[in-house]
Amino acid sequence: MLMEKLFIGLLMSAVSAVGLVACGGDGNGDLPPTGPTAGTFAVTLSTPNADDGAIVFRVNGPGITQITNGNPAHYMHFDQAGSAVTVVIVGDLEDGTLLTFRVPDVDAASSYSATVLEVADRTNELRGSVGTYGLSVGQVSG
Amino acid sequence: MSGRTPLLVLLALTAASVDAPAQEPGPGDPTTIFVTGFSEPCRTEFNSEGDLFVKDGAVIYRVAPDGSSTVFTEEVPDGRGFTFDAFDDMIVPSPGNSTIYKVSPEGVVTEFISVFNARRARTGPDGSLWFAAIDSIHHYDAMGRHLASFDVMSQGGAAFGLRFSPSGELYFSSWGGYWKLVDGVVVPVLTDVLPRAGGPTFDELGNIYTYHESVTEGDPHRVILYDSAWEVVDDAFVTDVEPPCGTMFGRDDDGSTNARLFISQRDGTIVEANPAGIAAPGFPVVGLSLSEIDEEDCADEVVGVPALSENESTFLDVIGNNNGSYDVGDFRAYLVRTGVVDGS
Repeated sequence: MLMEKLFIGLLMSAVSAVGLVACGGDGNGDLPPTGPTAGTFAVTLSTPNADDGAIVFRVNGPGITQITNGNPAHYMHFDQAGSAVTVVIVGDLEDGTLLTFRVPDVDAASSYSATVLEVADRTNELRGSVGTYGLSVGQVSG
Repeated sequence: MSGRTPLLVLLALTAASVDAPAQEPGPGDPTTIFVTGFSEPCRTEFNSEGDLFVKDGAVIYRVAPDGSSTVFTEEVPDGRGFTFDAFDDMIVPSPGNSTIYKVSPEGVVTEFISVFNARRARTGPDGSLWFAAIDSIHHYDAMGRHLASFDVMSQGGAAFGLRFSPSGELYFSSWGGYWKLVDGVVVPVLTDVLPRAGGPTFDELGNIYTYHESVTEGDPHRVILYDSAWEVVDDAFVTDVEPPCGTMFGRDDDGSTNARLFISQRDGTIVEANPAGIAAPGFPVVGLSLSEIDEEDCADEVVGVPALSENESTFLDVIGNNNGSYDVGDFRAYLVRTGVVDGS
């Protein structure tokens, strides 16, 4: 009987201790950082040409929201289907940010990618190859 | 019918028409005068703003919906049956120098392309341009690049009038008959009509209005109504007409074709048939207009969301990079043409 009471007492103490940890640990009510951190990513263009006039590209990655034109002088339109966003941007394109978007977890940067589909020059001619174009996806600092 | 017969029939029938007897009113009677004071206002078209343009002598006039007219241009020599293209420019054939003129909405005249002996222009469902040149029909894209030519006279036809039906078939006519052009082959439609037949004009249901100018005693001037299979519905649909030389449906100020049927007459007057007798609005004579192509549709299509019709895609490629399919270069060209993006 004594042993049974002792076991119950230890068990209750253990439950209380677990409860305290679950409720905040230090007893002051401040929660430690837990779970993913949301943030903003940018798609940046690297072009071998100085006369690009329009581009279509696709961004893949989970939970993309708040897609924003990176240059107000550019025309932008996109279609989002699941984790894929297909974007057209028209304007005098140069190296630099094409668009930004919000992600739910900045630590999942490797889950995001961007691929060039079509490029036209400023006389509307389609580029024969887009293999030398680069698109990078990275977190916007600050 | 021999290859030369239609032209010979036409030449034999250029004598003045006769006074025709009155007859029982048809569904399109009575007619009312829309505008008068011209000499022979036989070549006419409405533009996308609902104004009527009338070629009379050496002048092309602009007639407002209230019937008031002003000179649009006097700078097109020997202008014939004109049309409006997909950019709202007027396209005027001039057989005198085998030149096709383009007249901007502001009335600025420029030489566009050369087409030998063209008498009638028509804009197709994909914005391409067709020209009737009596013995042949010529096809150009919307930018004026030659696509094809068809010898119709050796196949028994003669091309003066040109119209597209709602099913997209190209019909052509002389005063002696109606034919259609199917994959370059001339197909007779009506070749036993009375002399001085004209048209056809289609409504959106496919009904067909033609006109007949009498050249024999006892044979009245009239507008004839056919169904879409070219069976006569009413041989005297409109009888309250002086010698007719053209039919057309009107357009509202938003560019849509309405159910007002106008008839040009050789007495210098354009009359309107009784609208109560008209079954449906006209089928648009300008098959495609840049201003009516939706920007959102163009943008969706280029990011992989199907939104454009085949005719729209074809037209946008033609005014873009003309490489055979719609792509981002064509979309850029559209944005520049419509002023959304600065293309300079």
